[in-house]
Amino acid sequence: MTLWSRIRSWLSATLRRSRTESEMDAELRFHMEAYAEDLMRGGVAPGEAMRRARLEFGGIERAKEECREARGVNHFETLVQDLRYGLRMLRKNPGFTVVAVLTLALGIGANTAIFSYVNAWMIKPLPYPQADRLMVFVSHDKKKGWTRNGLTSTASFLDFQKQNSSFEQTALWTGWNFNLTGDGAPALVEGGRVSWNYFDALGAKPMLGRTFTPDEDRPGAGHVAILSQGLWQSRFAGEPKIIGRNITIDGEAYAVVGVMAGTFQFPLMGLANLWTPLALTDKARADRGSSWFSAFGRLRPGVTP
Amino acid sequence: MDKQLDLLQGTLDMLILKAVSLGPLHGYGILLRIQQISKDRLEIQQGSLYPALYRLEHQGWIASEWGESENKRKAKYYRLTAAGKRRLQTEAEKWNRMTDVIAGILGTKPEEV
Repeated sequence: MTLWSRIRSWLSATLRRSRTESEMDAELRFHMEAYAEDLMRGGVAPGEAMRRARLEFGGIERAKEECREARGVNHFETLVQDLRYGLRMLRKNPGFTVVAVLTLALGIGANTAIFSYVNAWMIKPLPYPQADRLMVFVSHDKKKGWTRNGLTSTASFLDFQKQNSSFEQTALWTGWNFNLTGDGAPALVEGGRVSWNYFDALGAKPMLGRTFTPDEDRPGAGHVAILSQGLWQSRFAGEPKIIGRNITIDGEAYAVVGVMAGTFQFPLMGLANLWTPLALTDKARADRGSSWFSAFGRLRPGVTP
Repeated sequence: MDKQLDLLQGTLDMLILKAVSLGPLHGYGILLRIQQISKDRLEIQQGSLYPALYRLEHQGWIASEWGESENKRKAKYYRLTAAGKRRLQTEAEKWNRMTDVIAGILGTKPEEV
């Protein structure tokens, strides 16, 4: 009961401030006048009576202040007063204000920048369908006891591919620099050589054309290429008949089979513009020593990492 | 006049509630009534009256409304609420118990320890 009346009293005091103020004024004034009248009735002179009344009251402002406090309105009003005071002080000291604002701006700006970076790289989920099903493979050398993050050798990968049952797709890739000639000045294009199911495992669909087929990932085959949208626009002027066209990579003819949209950025932080199948020779497949391939896989539904 | 007894803080609230329980009054009237029923032995400091009144109203023990005074002027009248009545009772009981206890302690003779 009393909590409710407290709230009500506080509400009415805060919301109808001017009215309660004038009410308080009127009430206190009535009291003083009544007191003075009594004094006068007792024979005191009017001026003296008023003076005594005021004195007795201990200063009307202080009385009002105490009344306000008793109502519990004070905290909010004090806050507002403090804010106004702060603003006034800032205006009086422009030098200090400028330094403070600059420091804050710098701090907030740096923080925001770092967060956006971290957010894009680490916190935001990958833009692939069911991205949490994608796993990156790590080489773990039991004998030597070290783990190399993200790099594996072809033989290890192929073994894993054959033996595992937890992944519905596994893909292998390595970064590669291609020499493009013809169609303009010779250029070094960064991209990757990938297993045929690279794009499919990620769940990324091409903007134009298709992704690789298993046949194209065989030794001797594999003279096909997928471009990025950026490369298609910049080097081939976005020509509509790009699919099926031949381009010259490292001096050999490759047929373009697909174009990936500009939103596809993997693996090299947005620098991948060209992909060709790995087309590993048998010798390369048996290689267990060189670990400069990266691999990832997509878990089968229902498998927990 | 005899030297005024110094009032303990919580007792002013109790006295105000008692004064108002005898009938609605405005602030000045409460002052006078307390003085009157104490047979002039108690005089409240004018400055402490109104904060106490507002506190009691804030807590819901008394309620106020504007009315007309004896000399036809606008004044704020206070009356006791139902909750206030209960409060007055409990406070009075506590007070009586306390005074009993303290009187007992003060009246202890050396041999009784």
